[in-house]
Amino acid sequence: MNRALPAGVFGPEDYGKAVKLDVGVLVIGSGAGGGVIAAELAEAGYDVVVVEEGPWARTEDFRPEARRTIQTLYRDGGASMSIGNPPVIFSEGRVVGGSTVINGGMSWRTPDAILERWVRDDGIEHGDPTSMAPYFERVEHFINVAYQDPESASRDNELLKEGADKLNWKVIPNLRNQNHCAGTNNCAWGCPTGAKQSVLVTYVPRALRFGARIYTGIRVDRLTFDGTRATGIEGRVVGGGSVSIRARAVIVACGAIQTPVLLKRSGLRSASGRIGTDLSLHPNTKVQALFDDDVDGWKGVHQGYQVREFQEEGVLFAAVNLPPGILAMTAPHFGRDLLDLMTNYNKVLNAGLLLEDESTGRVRVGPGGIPLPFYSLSHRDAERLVNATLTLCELLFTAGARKIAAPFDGTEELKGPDDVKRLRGYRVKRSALELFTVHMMGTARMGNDPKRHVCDSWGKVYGAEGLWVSDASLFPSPIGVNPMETIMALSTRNARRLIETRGLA
Amino acid sequence: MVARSSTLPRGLVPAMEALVRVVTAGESDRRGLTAEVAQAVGEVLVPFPAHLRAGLLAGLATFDQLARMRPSSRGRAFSRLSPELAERVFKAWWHSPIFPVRQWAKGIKGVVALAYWDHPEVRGAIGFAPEGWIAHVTERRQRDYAADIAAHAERVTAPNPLVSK
Repeated sequence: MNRALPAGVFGPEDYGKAVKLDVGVLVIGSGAGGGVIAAELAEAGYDVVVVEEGPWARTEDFRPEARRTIQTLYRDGGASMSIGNPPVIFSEGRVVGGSTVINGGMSWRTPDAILERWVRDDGIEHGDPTSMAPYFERVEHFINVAYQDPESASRDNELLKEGADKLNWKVIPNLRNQNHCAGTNNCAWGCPTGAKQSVLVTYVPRALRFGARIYTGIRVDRLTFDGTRATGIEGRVVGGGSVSIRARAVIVACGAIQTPVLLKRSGLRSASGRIGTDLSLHPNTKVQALFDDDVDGWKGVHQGYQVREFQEEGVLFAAVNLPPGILAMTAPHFGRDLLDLMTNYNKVLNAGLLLEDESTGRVRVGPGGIPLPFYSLSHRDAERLVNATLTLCELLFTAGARKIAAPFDGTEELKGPDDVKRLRGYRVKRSALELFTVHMMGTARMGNDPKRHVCDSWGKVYGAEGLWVSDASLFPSPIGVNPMETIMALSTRNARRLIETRGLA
Repeated sequence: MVARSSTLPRGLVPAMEALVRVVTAGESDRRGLTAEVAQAVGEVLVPFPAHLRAGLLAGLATFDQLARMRPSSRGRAFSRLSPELAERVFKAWWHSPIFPVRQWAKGIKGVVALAYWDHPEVRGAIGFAPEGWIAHVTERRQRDYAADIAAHAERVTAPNPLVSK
């Protein structure tokens, strides 16, 4: 195992049962936020150490084995769940490279309207589209944001596009962080070709190249302070052992669920009272449509297109192929019905939607210090989700679907557009929605008012010295598109601020 | 990256095996995979949050025993029921008006379905064979784009300071 680790990466085999370090900048988390800021600061000459709870993984480890992957690369075996009506299942990567290793690889800039709103409503300094453009460009350079090569197209995506085209709806090819993506549709289980330019294969090698060190298998229990100055962390080696790291600056980049809980577990208080509040989720629903001909969604790229017809209403559609185990897990059937669906696996198109939610939740500290996210969908968001799901069904029937599995608990399968119309008049309870997300945002919001925001415009935690946040917790609102590139651009921007102002000195 | 081993309590194995049969409509028996899949469910549960794992397993124990209360069960636990009766009992929980009961049924069905339909033999039987596809497109990518791939790999680690000195 040791031999598999590149220079600068350390696992429990290297450091044993106790880790005691004194470092310059400590970055907690190695994903879209932590990996990026670590690389930028390392190149600027800082002594950077990254701690990551998950393991190091190699491209050759990534195989089309969903069950094994969620056990090894996903936090909580992929079974994390918010409490509320309805519960929302969410996924977080727990591996070097974080969730970028297991996401779909969609790379979109923050919509201008969102950036403008953040400037207007939250007083974000230099956060307007023009000021942010160079940071997006820099990120896109390293993660190679590009459209797909034509040969990687998949039939499920073509069907989605055909349906949208027939309805004259706006549908666009997805921009993705990929270098000649081969179209293995294995994004969520780790890219087996290395074509997806996750943080694991871009910013992590970059950080290492400039001298950063990465300690894997370390769980941070709490931040340490001297008065209001952050001085490092205390934690545990996963599997046993103690960790104590002193640092002159600490950057928390654990994602919008773990970051606020780490801040709270460390006794941090915010004048805003908003550490852990304002949780947004971009809740997703999905439907499974059966076609007469083979779809073979696994032969080609994941989410090749997005239907943007309803973007102003906060809704995106995409075809999201799932391997058999995951499709069977999430399908609304058991027994004979499930067997029938799965026997026709290659004729199934799984499609999903993302909602820019108005509902917000909060993350509390649960027993043993674990995060307990609470989130209930507002009635208005539930209604938007139901309508959008039925609109997606309409698209799939237009594309030629023969039938669609019951989109909501307690409803029947849909056999045609008339069933969609009929269901539009049906009152769907929130508890009948089955929701999923990978976009958790907004639990340590940035802004110019310490009474309303947890962090300043550059991610520095108000009321604490030497402590920054660098992940989706900073978002003052949901953004309506995939958040990875926004996290990366903000981390780049905040790194620049730290370097130029000598904020880490 | 080694998956952790199964921790399904021995006392729950019969109930889990019965549930595997219900979820797969008996297909697991026809393939001789029921016991293996029940153990695999235990593996899936290992990394789950402790409260969730405990809830699912306690739910299974309760479900198994409460089946005795149904008149048609004649005092037998779920694990001892005929396939038809077992399906009926599970269906009652699946459609229960009590939200947590319904949630448990959907949750436990989910892990059973994952364990079964991720099995290599089952995946092959339904025509899902990604390994050959991945090998094919990986080779195509290397053949057609080797220069671009290498150039980007160099760009990733080339000096390119964010702030000019």
